[in-house]
This record gives sequence, C-alpha cells and structure tokens, in this order.
Amino acid sequence: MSLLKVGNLKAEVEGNEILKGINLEVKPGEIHAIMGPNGSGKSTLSKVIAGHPDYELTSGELEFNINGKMQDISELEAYERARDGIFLGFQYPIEVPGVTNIGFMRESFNALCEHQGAELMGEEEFRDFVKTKLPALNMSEEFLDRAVNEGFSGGEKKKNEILQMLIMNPRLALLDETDSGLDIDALKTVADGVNSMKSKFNAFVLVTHYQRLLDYIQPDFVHVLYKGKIIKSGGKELALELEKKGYDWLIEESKQ
Amino acid sequence: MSITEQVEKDFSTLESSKENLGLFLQKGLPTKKNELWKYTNLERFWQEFDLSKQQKADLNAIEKDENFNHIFFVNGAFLPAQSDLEVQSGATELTSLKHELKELLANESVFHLVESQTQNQYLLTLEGVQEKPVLIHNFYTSEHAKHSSAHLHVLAKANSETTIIESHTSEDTAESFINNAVSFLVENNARLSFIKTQELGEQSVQVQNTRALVKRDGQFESFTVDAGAKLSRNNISIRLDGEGANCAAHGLYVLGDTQQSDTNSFIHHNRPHTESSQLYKGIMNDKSHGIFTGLIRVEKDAQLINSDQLNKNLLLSKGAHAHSRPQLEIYADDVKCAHGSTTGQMSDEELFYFESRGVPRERAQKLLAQAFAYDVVLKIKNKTAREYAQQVLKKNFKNLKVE
Ligand SMILES: Nc1ncnc2c1ncn2[C@@H]1O[C@H](COP(=O)(O)OP(=O)(O)OP(=O)(O)O)[C@@H](O)[C@H]1O
Ligand SMILES: [Mg+2]
Repeated sequence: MSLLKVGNLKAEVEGNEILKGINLEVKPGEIHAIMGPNGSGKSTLSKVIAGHPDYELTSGELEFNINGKMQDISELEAYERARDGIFLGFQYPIEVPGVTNIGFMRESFNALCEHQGAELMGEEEFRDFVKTKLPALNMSEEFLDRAVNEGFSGGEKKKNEILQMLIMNPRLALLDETDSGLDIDALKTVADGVNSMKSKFNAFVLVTHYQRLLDYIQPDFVHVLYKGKIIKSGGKELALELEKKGYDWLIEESKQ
Repeated sequence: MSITEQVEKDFSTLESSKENLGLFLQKGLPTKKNELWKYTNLERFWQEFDLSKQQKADLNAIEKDENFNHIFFVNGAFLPAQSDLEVQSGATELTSLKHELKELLANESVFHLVESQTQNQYLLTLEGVQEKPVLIHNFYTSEHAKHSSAHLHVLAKANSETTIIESHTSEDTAESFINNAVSFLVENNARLSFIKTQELGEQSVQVQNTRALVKRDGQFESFTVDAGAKLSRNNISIRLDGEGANCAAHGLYVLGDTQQSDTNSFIHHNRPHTESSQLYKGIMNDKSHGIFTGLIRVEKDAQLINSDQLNKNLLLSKGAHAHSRPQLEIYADDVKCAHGSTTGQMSDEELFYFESRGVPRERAQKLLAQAFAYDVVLKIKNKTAREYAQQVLKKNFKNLKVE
C-alpha cells in the first residue's frame, strides 16, 4: 500500500512550467532522498505536495493515503493536507514577528487535535510536552518564547523545523534542505530527530545536496531531479556516485 | 439651510458661549481645502445628524470592576451618583485652567463648537499616586442622543501619577455625532497615561480633540484604540513646555466595512531636552480607510531633542486604503528626529507557513493581524490598563472578517 503517489505531475508558477512530469511513489516506512542541481524544481515539488497556493497543477495525479484509501489531494487546501499528515520543513524557514514560537506550535498542534476530535491542549500542558522534545535537539527553552524564527541563526531555524515536525508527528515529512547550513553536531542532531520519529507508519522525503546527511539517515531510494523531471532513481549508492562524479554524466545520459 | 445656519438655530436653544459659537460660525466646518482635512469630509457626515437633540439619559445596570475607579458619562453628561471620583462641572472653576491651556493650538472650528457648549465642561483634578487606573465610561444612547459635545479637563498636579482609560461605547443603533475634547495640564514631574478606546456603533461619528500641555520633567502618554464608528477623527496636540518633559502618542486603528479613521497628531517641542515618540498602526479590511498625518515641530531654542514617529499600515483587502503623511518642521539644529511610514499587505509566505502547519488561512490572518497590533498595546505600562486594551482588541478582532 502506498502513502503518496505522484503520477506524471506537471505544475507551473506564473505561467512557467517548472515540473514537467514527475513520477514518485512513497510507501510507509520508506525514506526517499531527492537530489539535483540548483533550480531543478526540488523545492517546487515539495511545495506542490504541501499545497502552496502559488503553484498550479496543470496535469497528472497527486494522491495521498487518508484513512487507508488513496485520495486525490490536489484540490485540498494546504492546511487540510497538513491536518491529514503532510509536513513541510522549509528550505528557508519564515520569520514571524509578534508571534511566539510556542504560540505558533500550540496553534498548529491544536489544529491537529481539533481535526482528530481530540481535546485541545492548554498552555501549560503544551509547554511541558514541548520541553520533553528540546534536549534531543539541543535547544534551550528560551527559543520557545522568542518570536518564530526571528533572529534565529540559520542552523537554529532548521532545528526549529525539526522541533515542529516532532510535535506534529506527521505521516509524511518533506524536509527541504534541512541539512543545509548545519554544523556537524547539528547535522547529527537533526538526523537523530528524524531517526527517532521514523516508524513503519510514516515516511520521509529528504531534499538534499549532500551525501553527508545520508550517512546518518539511510535512504531507501535516491532520485535525481533535473529541469522538472526525475532523470534517475536508484538506491543509496547513487548518492555516493553523484558525490564523486557530479551531475554532468547523468544529464548527458538523460539526453540520449 | 446651510450647516452654519442649522448650528445657529439649534444652538440658540442651548446654553452657549457666544464668543466660541461666533468663531465657529465664522469658520464653518473644515473643508478639503484645509490640508489637515484633506481626506475627511465632515460635512458629508454632519448632515445626517440633528443637532438640536442632546438629552440626558440614565444608565440602568452598572457593573463595576474593582480594579478601577469609575467615572460615568452618558451622552456627554456626568453621572455623579454612579461615579467613584468627583468631577467638577461648570465653566467657572475652569477659567484659569482654560487660560493656561490657551497656549495649545486650538484654532480648529470643531473645537470652537465644543467650547461653545457651556453646559458640558468638566474638571478632574489628580493628586498623588493613583494605584488604580481611572476608567471613564462614555456611553451614548440611541434614543436621546443625536449630538453630543463635552470637554473634560484634567489637571495632573505636580508629582502625581495616574493612568486614565476613556472608553467610548454606544448602543448599536445609536446615530450619534460626538464632538468632544479632553485637555490635560501635566504639571512639573507629573505622569499621566491616557488610553482612549473607541468602540462606537457603526452609525456613529466621533471627532475628538485631545490636547496636553506638559511642564518640566512631566510625562504624558496618549494611546488611541479605534475600532468602532463609521468615522472617527482624532486631533492630538501635545506641547512639551518644560525641560525634561516627554510624551508618547501611540495608536491603533482596526477598521472594516467602509469605516474611516483619521488621526492628526501635532507634537510641539517648545523647550530643550524634550523627547517624544509615536507609533501608529492601522489594520484595514474591506473598503475601510485609515489616515495618519503627523507633524513634529521643534522650536529654535529647543536643542537636544529626541523625537521619533512611525506609522505602519496593514491592508487586508484590495478595497482598503491608507494615507500616511509624516511631517517635520525643525528650527533647532541639535535634534535627533526619525520618522517614517510603511503600508503593505500581509505576507503570503507567512500565511503559507501557518497553513502548512494545519492552520486555516482565515485564522492565520487573524493571528498575524493581532501580532501586528500587539507591539503597540505592549507600550501601555500599567498592567491593568494594558489588559483592558487587549480585551478591547480581542473583542474587535473577533469581528474582523478577513478576506
Ligand atoms: N514564484 C516563482 N516565479 C517564477 N519562477 C519560479 C518561482 N518559484 C520557482 N521558480 C523557478 O522554478 C525553478 C525551480 O525552483 P526550485 O526552488 O524548485 O529549485 P530547487 O531545485 O529547489 O533549487 P535549489 O537547489 O537552489 O533550492 C527555478 O528556476 C526557479 O527560479
Ligand atoms: Mg530548493
């Protein structure tokens, strides 16, 4: 049974076609890595799956497993997709002045509770819950009371994305370059966060430029995206090969 | 009948000061030709009101929150029996105070009109440190009030310290034209914080003149929270008249439908070593219109001045608009002045961030609008008063239908 199914998907933004026929199937328990040169459409793909309103699906399928059935999610709003278990870790996390980090997370968490018909969590109880997640990420409580991402360093922003992911506990996590800009210790911390959440019920799609992350998180599949198409898929050895040889040979190969 | 003719006729039945009435009749209502009234056509709103009706009414059930000292006004008239503090009425006690406040610019014809009504002239005298904020309730009924005019004078004696909240509410159906004034004399080393919250019904119009004269080492703070009324005009004029005097003038307008809020602030640095700070924020939805005009004047001998002014507007719909006119007039040379304004929409990327976390767009818009407003309210130092203002905002954000 699959969790996410993307079939011959085409998408455009402001009239420019960016995704030109993507096929991708993700099953529960799997980890997929998406690599590819700058501007190839990796972030676009993750935003399209998460439901960013600027991107228009022009053709193809986008299905997600909801209540045990594959359902077309292309018409669902982003917030509905999030409530159904899709999480997007942003390549460039947004700063939100005037909204505290903990307030933002409680709002998100309670949105899920509401959707699942569970009781909403009060401020204190929620703070205690979030505090249990902080040590593993090496974050201090001070981050909870600051405005969302405001003045956070690049690495702190990425860790904050992982914290949000752990709190939302999604079935599908799309992590867009969560490893970029992290020092070695932080990279391990982030990887530990992913590994601690991994189960046979959920799946991860990791967008990355570096084989390094994949030393810590073992991918089942590696895909190479180029000019809006997946030009090659393979196992984790593909990432090692790319690290050595770059993308040119693949791009040549795909032209033939 | 022209407006001036109408005023002359209606006011002939009321107790009035001939001198001020004469000044009003001479000038008439401000028109668009007056730069300070460029965006607000008072005449258009005026005609809908019958000025002859200004009657006393009583309040029925009153609930008093113990955290405040309460003062009640209905349709501009003081209710002594229900109030905790005494307010003197009648023009006689006020003669010397009025004379001192003459220093303040008061050449607006709407102000002459307030002054021409001699019956609703009040004086509140404050001494010492007031632990509880004073909560002044101004309530306007639909049955009795068409036109309401009152002038409250506040004398903050030397070394006194007070927070005043002045709330304006009305029955939903009230069609009131409220033209009022609040004048402050802040004596040496006194501190006064004045928070005006305006939640009038959607058929009401208010023109409020807030004036303050601040003496040596005195501190005056004005906060305006404007949420109701179809038109609300705030004329704020503060003169820093002694060394070490400082003031803040902050405001927030939260508008929807076709509401209009027009703020005109004038900060006058008349002595050296004075400071002022202003932050006005507007949140406009639907077809509403927010206007801010702010003038800072620094006199020639007023050196070592610190002054800043910022106006920020958030437009929530395509039909909403904002006008912002920060102005400086500086005749001294050792002056630090910063001013600016921004107008923008809510960031789509911020909204998407919320949405990607399961929060519907409408809810996200509300939260972001609240966040935008929050830092103005945080400037209210008194906790009780701050919480009061927050409640007012919260209530009005509930009504804010965002696109
Ligand atoms: N809103 C937009 N308007 C116009 N072009 C866009 C827009 N968003 C993305 N693009 C274009 O789509 C292409 C793919 O962008 P995308 O961000 O998906 O690339 P990426 O693979 O994530 O790159 P990187 O590795 O640099 O993060 C780029 O050429 C980009 O300029
Ligand atoms: Mg990208």
